[in-house]
Amino acid sequence: MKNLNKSIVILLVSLSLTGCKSNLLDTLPSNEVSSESIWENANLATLAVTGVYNQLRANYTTNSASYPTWDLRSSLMDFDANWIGNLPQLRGTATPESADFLNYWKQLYEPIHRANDVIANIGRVPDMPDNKKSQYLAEVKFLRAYFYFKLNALWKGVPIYTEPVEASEANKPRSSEEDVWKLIISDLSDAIEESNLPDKYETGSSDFGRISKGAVFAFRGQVYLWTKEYQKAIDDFEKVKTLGYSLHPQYRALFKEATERNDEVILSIQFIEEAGSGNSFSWAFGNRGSAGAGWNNYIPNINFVDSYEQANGKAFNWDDFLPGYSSMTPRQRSVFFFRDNMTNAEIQTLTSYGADMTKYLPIGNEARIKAAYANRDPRMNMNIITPYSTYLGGLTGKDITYTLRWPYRGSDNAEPYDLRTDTNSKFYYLIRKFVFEGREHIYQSYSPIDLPIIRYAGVLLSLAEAYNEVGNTAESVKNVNLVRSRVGAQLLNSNSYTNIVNQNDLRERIRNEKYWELPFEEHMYFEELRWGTWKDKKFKAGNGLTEIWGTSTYTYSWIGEHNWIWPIPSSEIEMNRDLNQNPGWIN
Amino acid sequence: MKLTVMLFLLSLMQLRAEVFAQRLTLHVENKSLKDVMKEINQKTGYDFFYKNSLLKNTTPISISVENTNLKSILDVILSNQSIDYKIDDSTVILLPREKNHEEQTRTISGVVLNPAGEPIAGATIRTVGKSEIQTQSDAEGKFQFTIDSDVKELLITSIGFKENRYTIGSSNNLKIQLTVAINDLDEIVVVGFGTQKKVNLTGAVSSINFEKEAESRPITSISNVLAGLAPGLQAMQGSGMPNSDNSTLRIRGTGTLNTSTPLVLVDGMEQSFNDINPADVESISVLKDAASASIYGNRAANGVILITTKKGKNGRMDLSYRSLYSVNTPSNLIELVDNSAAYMELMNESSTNVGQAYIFNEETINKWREAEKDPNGLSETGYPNYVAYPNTDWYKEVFQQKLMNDQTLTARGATDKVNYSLSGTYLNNPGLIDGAGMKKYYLRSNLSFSINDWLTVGNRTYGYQSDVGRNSTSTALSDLGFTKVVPSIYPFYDGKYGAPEPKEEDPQSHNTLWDIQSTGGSYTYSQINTSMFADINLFKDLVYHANFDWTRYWQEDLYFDKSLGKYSFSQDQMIIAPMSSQELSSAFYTMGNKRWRVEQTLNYRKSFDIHDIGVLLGHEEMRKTQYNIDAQKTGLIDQSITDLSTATEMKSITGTNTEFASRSFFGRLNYGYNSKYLLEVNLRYDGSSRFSPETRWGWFPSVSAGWRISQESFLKDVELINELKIRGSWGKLGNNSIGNYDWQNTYSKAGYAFGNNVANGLAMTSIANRNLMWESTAISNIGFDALLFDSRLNAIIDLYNKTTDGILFRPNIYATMGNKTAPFQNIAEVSNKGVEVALSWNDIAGDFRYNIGTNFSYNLNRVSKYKGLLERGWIEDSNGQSVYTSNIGDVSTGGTNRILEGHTINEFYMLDVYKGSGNYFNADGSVNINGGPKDGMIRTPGDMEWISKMIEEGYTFYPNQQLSKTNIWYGDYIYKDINGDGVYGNSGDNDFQMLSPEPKYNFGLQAGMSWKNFDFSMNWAASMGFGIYWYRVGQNSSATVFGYAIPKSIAEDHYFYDPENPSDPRTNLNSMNPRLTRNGGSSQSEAVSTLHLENGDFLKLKNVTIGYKIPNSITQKAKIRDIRIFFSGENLLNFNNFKGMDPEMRTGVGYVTTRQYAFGLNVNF
Repeated sequence: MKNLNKSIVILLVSLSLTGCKSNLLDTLPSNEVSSESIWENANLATLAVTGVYNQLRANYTTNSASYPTWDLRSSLMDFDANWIGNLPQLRGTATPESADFLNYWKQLYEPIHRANDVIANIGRVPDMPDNKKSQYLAEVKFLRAYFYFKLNALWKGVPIYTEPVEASEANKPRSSEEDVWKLIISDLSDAIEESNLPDKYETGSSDFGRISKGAVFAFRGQVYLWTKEYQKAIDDFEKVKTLGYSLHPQYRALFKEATERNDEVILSIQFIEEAGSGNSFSWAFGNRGSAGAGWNNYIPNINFVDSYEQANGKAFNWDDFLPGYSSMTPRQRSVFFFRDNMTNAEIQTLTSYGADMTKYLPIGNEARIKAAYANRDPRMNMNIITPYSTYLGGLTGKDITYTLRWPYRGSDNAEPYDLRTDTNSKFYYLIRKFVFEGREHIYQSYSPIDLPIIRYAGVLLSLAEAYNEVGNTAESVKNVNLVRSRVGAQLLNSNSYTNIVNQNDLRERIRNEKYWELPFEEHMYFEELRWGTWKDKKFKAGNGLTEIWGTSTYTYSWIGEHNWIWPIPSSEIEMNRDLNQNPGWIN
Repeated sequence: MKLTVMLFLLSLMQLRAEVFAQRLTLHVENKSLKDVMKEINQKTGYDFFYKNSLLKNTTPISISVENTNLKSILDVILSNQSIDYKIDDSTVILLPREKNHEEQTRTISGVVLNPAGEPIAGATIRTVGKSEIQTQSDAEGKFQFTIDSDVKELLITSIGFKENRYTIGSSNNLKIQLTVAINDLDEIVVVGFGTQKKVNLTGAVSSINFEKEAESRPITSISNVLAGLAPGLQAMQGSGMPNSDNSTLRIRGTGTLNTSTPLVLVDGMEQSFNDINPADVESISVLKDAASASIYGNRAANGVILITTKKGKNGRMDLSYRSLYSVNTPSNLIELVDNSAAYMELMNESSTNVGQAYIFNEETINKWREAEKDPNGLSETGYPNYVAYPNTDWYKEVFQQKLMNDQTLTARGATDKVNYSLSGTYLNNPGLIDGAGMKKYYLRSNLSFSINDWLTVGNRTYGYQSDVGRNSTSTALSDLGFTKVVPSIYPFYDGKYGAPEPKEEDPQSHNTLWDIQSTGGSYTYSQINTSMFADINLFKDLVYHANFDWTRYWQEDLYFDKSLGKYSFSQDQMIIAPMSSQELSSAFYTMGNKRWRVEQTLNYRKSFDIHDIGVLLGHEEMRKTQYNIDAQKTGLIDQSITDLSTATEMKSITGTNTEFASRSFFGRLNYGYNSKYLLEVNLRYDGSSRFSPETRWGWFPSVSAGWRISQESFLKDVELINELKIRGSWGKLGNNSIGNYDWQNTYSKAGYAFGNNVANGLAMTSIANRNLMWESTAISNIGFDALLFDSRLNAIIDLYNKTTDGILFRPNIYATMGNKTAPFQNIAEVSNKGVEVALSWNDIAGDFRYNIGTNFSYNLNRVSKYKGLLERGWIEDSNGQSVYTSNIGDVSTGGTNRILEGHTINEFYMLDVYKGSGNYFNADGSVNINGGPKDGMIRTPGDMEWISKMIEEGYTFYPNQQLSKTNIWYGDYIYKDINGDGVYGNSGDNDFQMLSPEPKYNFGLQAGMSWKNFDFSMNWAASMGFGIYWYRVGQNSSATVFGYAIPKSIAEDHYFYDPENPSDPRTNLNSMNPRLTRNGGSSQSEAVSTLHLENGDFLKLKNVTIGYKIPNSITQKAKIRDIRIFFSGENLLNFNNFKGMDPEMRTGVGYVTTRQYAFGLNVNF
């Protein structure tokens, strides 16, 4: 200590404190890429293209009541009563302030800006070959058209942005509906002209899921149906038929991970079994017996299920199977759905409920109702879990065969293995499509099953529709029958039930065919809007969430003709007063 | 324990012994004294310290000695010179020789006593005269020192006592008795990078004697104790959850639109209140104005709270122990319907009210009614009726009374060379919920060593570990756990968790206990912080201070699912199967940060006659890196084996890293003239990595001045006035509380898949603004301090104007931009103007001492600039049509809480409930738009007739629009049409409510007294002038949801009317609560409106403490210095009209705050 020299101590202390970096304040994020560097290398630019595709998933990665599936808005299904408040357009309480409209406005514009970013900048990426640039440009234009299509279908004329825009300048007025259709057609036509866009991706391709020419033709054809240019639509759909697509022999296999990449799928939203990269369908559509435990918030509408024909093509009618059914009150006829061998307590409860117990068969009640669900269009039981049908669950860690019975006697892992739901106090149909069977997958929050948004069968039906509209019944029927024959449904014009009467009859049959073939694949709300049938179907008197025998849990309410077109979100009008509101909506 | 400390101290003292053993050989011939000293210095390392003038008349030296000690040599070589010397450590100080030492000095010894005759340790005894010598009294109050014999007077000072001028007589053994000071003019206040005498403060600083609070109060977070203690400091506790029960603090209102939390510095290091052991805190200073805070420039805009930890006190060796046990109870719980039959009937009512089928069968309801009559009878399944047909009150079931325990052991002491303070605390806060408590362990060591007279080095090290029960998952406790619950579930019986018993019930309704128990694992939070510092006396008045500190923090969460099923006791079977082990997840999450910081200052203080000068120059920089890793796997071999490596399937691994750095230079100048006129100037230059290189540096100056009027000759002799001062200050402070990378445009991950393989993707998910810069807060402050009536009355008044401009905020962007995060902009300006008053009265009458103090603050908050004023009204458009326009979307941001120029931050903006005259129709029979129901509820057929007529006439009532059971019906509210567009309750009808969630008034009152061995104190706090919007299904709503709770307040009082059966016994036309409506039926009364905007004003008795000191006559026998036993109650009384749990939480529900009854003792050995 004696040698302690003051100046040395000071020097040492201050040296040790100031030996710090001169660039101390320059920090860079390690999980993000700065905007300066993204267009400087091909790898990053490619990632930006993928970033546009990313938005195809936007609706589906969480089971969020803010983004219910599109099909829920159609007459295909209904929402569990607890959550119906989230759908003001169906409840009759919609105003431009309803969060629904703002959520989708934002969600659909997001990918458009991502696409614009790629379109404006991909040209300047130094190390990307030109053929890749052209291919990506075509893909991204398709995607931009895809999202503008949704905006235009819902709002009928929206502001058009085709270039990157500053946040402060996103305040254009609306373009007309026609101009938006024009932009969509022009983007799709550009993609069709692009020679670097392949016609089709082989099912084993590592690029499966990218936009192919098949997808562009099919989608442009669909857009022409909206603009009622039927011959153009026919040309595009016929073009698709030349590109190597075909129907997969097994309908159910289309919705299984192992077989989801096949020649019928023209474009599907790609999901894989990884957190954030799968969909939540099994969670939202599934039941409590499903692996991971589904919530069955989404319930098939009884009118839709009843619309499935008998196997011979005859329209289904309850009275054919249960005489007097339609003249009984819903509570009375609930008796037909009861299980065999009910306990006295159950009988007592259901008697006080109002069931007509004189019709109850302690043995045979189940067999009687099962007959009504046998011998129907095969797709019904492939898409829907009907009473007393079985479902292979996986909740308890092993495969268990459950049966949908009523009244429920419950346990997940003990006899009688009744299928448990979140709506046990009511008896509803359940969804089978997209729902896990057994232990095939176990993560309800990321199902790997792809959602086919353009499927060859759908193209054939749209083609049939276009042919029917131009009066070509023969071609139309031929295409419908391609789809029907795959599942073994009675072919059109093959017996008295399936004989086509006239253009209207065929139109109705094609529309029904789409419901039966494509349910829960996110098409039908848009189709109902296009056909103008949404109001009649969805808001039909008494329609709503309904138990199988017809007791209503709630019904929908139509607020007026303005309900057809979505309102511009009021908060956006408050910011951009150049946006005109759609007629009938009051800000 | 005592022995260990002693041994430790002794070992430190060994360091000094070698100094005196120095021997050397010296041969010189006729050399100057200067050269000889140089040679000695080279041989021994001893420095010589002298004034050059002293060597003027020295004579040359010759000496030849072998191996002789230094002292003898110095005696020889200086014997002929008129120079004397003294050795201090390794420095030889040369002094002019004046007199013969031995004859001119005397040794004085004595004892310093308090008025009760007990010894005072650590009192300073200083000689009065030209050469100042001082010493301090030891633990027995004794002192001894040698002074010049011509010293006639001693000055004795000790904190808490009046200074005493003692005239020395002939006796060398003194007995000095001090009298208690009521208010101490010499009180030292901790300020930025130093201390200041309170009387010399020119800024607005409130100091809190925290040690006194910590002595007896059951403290789980320091922040909770601060409520009501200082004017301008608002503390509101939002939750009672262990480890998350910090209060939100605001100093002088909310100054900005982003983080408004004050900077908390513990001994100069940035920390949060959770990091610090309340037992270690000595004092807390609240720096409120720019002048006092601007030395911390970049982070000080929201005010600064300086916490100083305890050091040893001179002359004392303390070993003390505090033990506290506290009974914790919920302060106030929401009451839910806990009778299942009643619940089911209410659910049926709410279903049929909206035209839906009833849910529960008559038969089921009757079953519960029957079982209720004989709760202990056996049900069909053999379980008791109360289990098989339960009536559960979930809040009472889950929130339970618990015993908290807090043990602290402290050793502190100081000698002239060593100062130490060691402490350890164990806090077991079980909270109010089983398995969701916290155990926290703190350790601290504060040490400093005076190596020699110019060098002091030290180390402060502390750390803690908190083990928090994993069960306190927020979804269980604040989300579905108390909303999606029904009374017909039995929580836990016979080793089984209950399921909903009625068949009709939602099988997914929650069992809160199951929610809590179905996950296992733990949260561990640990931190270690250590700092090394050195103080070097460069010259007499110039001190160089250097400090390096390093902090490491870890949060480690272990999580695993437990496989628990749910059982129906009435059906005697497992209803919901336990999860299979294949599905069980195990996860490990760790978040950590590493931070280093250096600080160095040069501090110069000097007094020339009547001029006091202080200069401070400093440099500070820090870097903080933070990371997290989250790994999750599923598929456990068995539910008891939860380690990640034993789980079978990879689920996810994520991780991130961020960095933040800052560098600053600062300076301060103090000048005092004659202790009368005071001036202080601060300047700070700050750089932050959160801004681009072009904009990252900012200047933050401040200036303040004070005038101690009481020092003026015209007031000096006024007895009444002990101190009177006017202060004024102005300054600017900075704020960079935005994300670490917000100025950089970035693309973040947005992946997809092709061909069933992951495809990485990127997308611009946020928009950046490269031009971001510091937001700056300018504060002007005028203050008055007065100490009157023999220092008994202390008054402090402050007026301030605080304006923050260039506020970093994300204004809304067009929704058309998509889902992108809006860019930050330096956009808004917020002003807070206010007044703070603190008054206190202290007095002593014999053994009786009392004090009462109150403080009050008023703060007026305004967004003074944003995007322009609100303009709304009817204009004529180009077609000559009258249209209503509003620029609310352009000029304002937010929803229910809005930012708008000229309004309070987050002012409530919502619909007003309709208020009409009840006349319905005009004289001509037409409908009177102002004639609707008086309180806005459709109650009577008359009301119904009026509204249907209105709708016929084209008026619309939002949101439900149509008259029907499912839309607008009897028992629903309608809303005011403020813009007159004929639509009642659309977006244009929202209005500002002149109320925000921030209180305008805060109030505190402290009173205390002591008499002989008893002491008593209490603390009240109040906040007023704020609102709480609270509306939550299952807690206070008339809207019900299947499977969700129904609140008792609504169950017992809600509107009911059935026009088809007006004599229904449930009919209640007068309730203010709307009809019950099952969600999905009607939402008319659920619109965000003033219906659910409540006044939050409250007055709370925060604490009462009663203590008793066991007489020394008893304790001395046990060789204990003193023992005090105490009772302390927290949150004892709460006066308010709020219907939720606690207005302080500013929401109705959550983890309820606690009421505590604590008992404990303090022992000083």
